[in-house]
Amino acid sequence: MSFWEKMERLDRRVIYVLLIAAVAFALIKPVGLAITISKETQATYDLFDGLPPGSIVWIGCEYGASNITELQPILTCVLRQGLAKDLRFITGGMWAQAGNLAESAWEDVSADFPDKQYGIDFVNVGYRPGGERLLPALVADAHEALMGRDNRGTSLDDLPLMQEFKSLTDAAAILVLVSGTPGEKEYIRLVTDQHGIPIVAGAVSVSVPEAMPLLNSGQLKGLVMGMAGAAEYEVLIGKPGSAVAGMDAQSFAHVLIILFIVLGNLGHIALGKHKKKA
Amino acid sequence: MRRNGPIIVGLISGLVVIVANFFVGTVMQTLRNEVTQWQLIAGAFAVLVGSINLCRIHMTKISRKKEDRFFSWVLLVGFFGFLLFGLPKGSSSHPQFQWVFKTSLEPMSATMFALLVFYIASAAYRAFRVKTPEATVLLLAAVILMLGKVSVGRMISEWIPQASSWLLDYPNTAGMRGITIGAALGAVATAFRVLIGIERGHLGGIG
Amino acid sequence: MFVQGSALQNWIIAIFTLALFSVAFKENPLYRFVEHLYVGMAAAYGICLTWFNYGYPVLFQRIPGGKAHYIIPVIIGLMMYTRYFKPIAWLSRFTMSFLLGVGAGFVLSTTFRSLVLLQVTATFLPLWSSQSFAQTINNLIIVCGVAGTLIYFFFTAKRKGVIGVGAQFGKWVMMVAFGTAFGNTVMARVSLFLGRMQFLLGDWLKIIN
Repeated sequence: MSFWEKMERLDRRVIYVLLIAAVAFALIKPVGLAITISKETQATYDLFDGLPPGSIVWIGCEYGASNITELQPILTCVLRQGLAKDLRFITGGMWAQAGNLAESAWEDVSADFPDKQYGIDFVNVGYRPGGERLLPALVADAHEALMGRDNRGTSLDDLPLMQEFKSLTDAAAILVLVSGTPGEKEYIRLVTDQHGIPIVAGAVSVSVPEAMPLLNSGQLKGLVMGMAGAAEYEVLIGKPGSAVAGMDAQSFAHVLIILFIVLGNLGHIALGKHKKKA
Repeated sequence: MRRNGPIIVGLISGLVVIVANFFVGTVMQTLRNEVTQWQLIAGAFAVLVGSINLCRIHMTKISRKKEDRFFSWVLLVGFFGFLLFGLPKGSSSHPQFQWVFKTSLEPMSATMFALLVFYIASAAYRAFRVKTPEATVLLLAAVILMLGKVSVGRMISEWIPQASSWLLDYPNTAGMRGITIGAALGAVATAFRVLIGIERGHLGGIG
Repeated sequence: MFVQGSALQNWIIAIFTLALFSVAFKENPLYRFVEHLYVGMAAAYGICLTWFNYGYPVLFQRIPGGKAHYIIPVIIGLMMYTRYFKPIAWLSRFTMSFLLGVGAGFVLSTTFRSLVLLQVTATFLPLWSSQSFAQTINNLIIVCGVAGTLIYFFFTAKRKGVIGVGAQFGKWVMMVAFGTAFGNTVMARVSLFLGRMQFLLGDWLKIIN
């Protein structure tokens, strides 16, 4: 059996072990490759940087724990940036795990901002069923759409921040963290295009290509692209975290997968020639 | 009544939403807002259908003593166990509920999707073959993007991240915009068909 | 017991993670156990949240608190369950039609402007840019790429002349778009895997910070 025939019959588990080894090595011994800020991430950062103190930002947590690695760092970064500028946040979403994920982010971030209080600077209204039909309901009457209570079961009348937020149109800006449908397209269709609210998105890498036309047309004002974008945002706010820590491993894994593609094709070509000779 | 009644209900509820756009600030808009709240409530109370079907399938497996009924037991224990634990908590922000979420659902969801990396790596080696010019272009675009989005691309050459950015900004935008427009036109056509009762797929198979 | 970040929590998470990862190497009973547990818990989780955020407030706060008319959408929602009783199963169609009708109304009144009109007008770019030659090329790619992609899907038109050239160009533009989509998909999957490795090596084994 020739070398290429052996390579063609390579057990898939060898590929898995190589991938695990490459990622583990890069995590244990990071190289510290430089991270460059993209214009799309910078635009997102600049939008929040330009908001006056006290502005209310709605964060749509339209993702589940399956995409936590890419989107949770973006959420914590924006919360850190905004709380430092005295912005106020309301989080909620059309995806089931929105409430718990937002609660986790608040637990992480609030420890660094002891002067910020739940109910005054941050409210988590959590998941509401109904898919995209939630958004027009939030525009029409947010308190009614939320049945008068937040994710913790507290009456919205008891939360000072919610007294200034009667409709989604009361938000000065919207950040939507996207991992599929419903996502940024629904916010743009049903809310921002009609009411002129600036919207930025943090998207999982899979959703980035389909968000680009919206960015190009100006319907999206900024886009944080996956874990690479999250790492850029961590650099921008000066607090490197899990995203920055993972970028070296991401580089290694990408190079390995490209090598797999090249090797596979070389083998295919070599075997094709070999078979022709025979 | 059985066929036409639901179609008429669908038409009226859709028209309430559409017509309100022509009568801003009037009772039509109030009616639309009310219908919008109603459909959230109706949708919430209809949510059990999927879970009922899930339980029925696995209870049938158990009652018919199928070979892998043990796992059906596991599913039902997980389902009813979480319900019994979670419902009395009153909110998903309850510390114990949040703990169970972070200990079970969050890592399990994340790991289920993380498994896909193995299949992508295996497919990259075994299945991704550049047999046609189109596949070559697709592969080149993918490779440039994969290198350009991470730091190693800049180490290889300055033009890789620039090329990656250009690919996303122009050819990708053009292709995806065409697909977006086409899909949106399809969605509008389907919505129109649903409203006027031509599309009846959601009504079929019952009664 | 319910302490965030405790050793118990980390061990349980690690067991679940490794059990699910094990399927990549070989299908095994531990994986199937955790998979079925996950499906059951996820279904129950959705029900809990819906009860917390809608069921309980509507039935015990809104309706007794002056919004008695909310009983109507509650009944519409409950009609969905008539599908399990053959003689009255047809009543469940009303729930589906109501929900789909409202959804169709919003799609009709919002989609065309945002996802068709505004996208088309964003494609109206100058085919000769005074700024730079590169911008001219970029504008041409966008204009011709969008047109070509749309032309490609006119399967009823003969692929000759302008239509043929347009469809060909659209095909190549879409190949690049799908290539970037594939590259981004690889990125996304690697990122998700990284997150789990960061937990296993960091929070669980304490090998990395």
